Amino acid sequence: MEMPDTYLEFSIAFLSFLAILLGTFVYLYFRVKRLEKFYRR
Amino acid sequence: MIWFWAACVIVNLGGFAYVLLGIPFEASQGAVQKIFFFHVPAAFCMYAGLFAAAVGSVVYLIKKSSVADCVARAGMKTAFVFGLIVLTSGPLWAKPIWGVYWTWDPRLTTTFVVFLLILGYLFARNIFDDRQAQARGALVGAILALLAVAHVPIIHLSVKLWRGVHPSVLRNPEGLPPTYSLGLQIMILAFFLLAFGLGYLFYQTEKGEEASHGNA
Repeated sequence: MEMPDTYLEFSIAFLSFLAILLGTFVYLYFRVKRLEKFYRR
Repeated sequence: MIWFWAACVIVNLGGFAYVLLGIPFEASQGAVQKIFFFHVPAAFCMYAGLFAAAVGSVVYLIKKSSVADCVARAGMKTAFVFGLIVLTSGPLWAKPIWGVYWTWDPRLTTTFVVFLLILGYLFARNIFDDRQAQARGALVGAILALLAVAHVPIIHLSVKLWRGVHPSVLRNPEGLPPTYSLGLQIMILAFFLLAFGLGYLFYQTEKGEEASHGNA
């Protein structure tokens, strides 16, 4: 049996995983920035 | 904490290098089978986040401790991140293998319900954000967290209880090939480190936010 070509699905899933992780760190970065601004006031 | 993050990055990079480059493709599925190596660990991390949220919520309900409430919120946010990974990677695996992105299989349905509860929790905590309403938000959140964690054994056993189409290779008596099993174990360790690190960062920001409410 020939191996199916499923590179596209895997690539999308892997990139989604990286995007979610990146999004989480960006979210955390902006929250920390906001808190820093608050404490500096 | 810098050493922890260094270890986390090394284990994750090493784990991904091993499962993506070191393990051969599965003959009947091809590249998409590799999703398994981050789909399953992400599901375990979602369970761990829910468990932390439930423990934090119970302690909060008993002691009214703000630290416990911060743990609950951080746990739920961690569960959200990993739940999102589970719910995006799963359908992308399912499309070429089952022919559809989504089917109302018991495990998929219970996972979806838990994800809705996580979303409900996060919305509830945002709605009751001001200081007076915070206690009410924490109470509503605690109930939702306990409901969500009560679903975890149901998700886990759903494959056995209702015999859906979702595979359960971990319970299969033939088990996984040794290389796959090793890869999965490394990835579970890597993801747990990641989940702990993210949970800790969420906890720190929640604590900072809590203190800023107190100072406002």
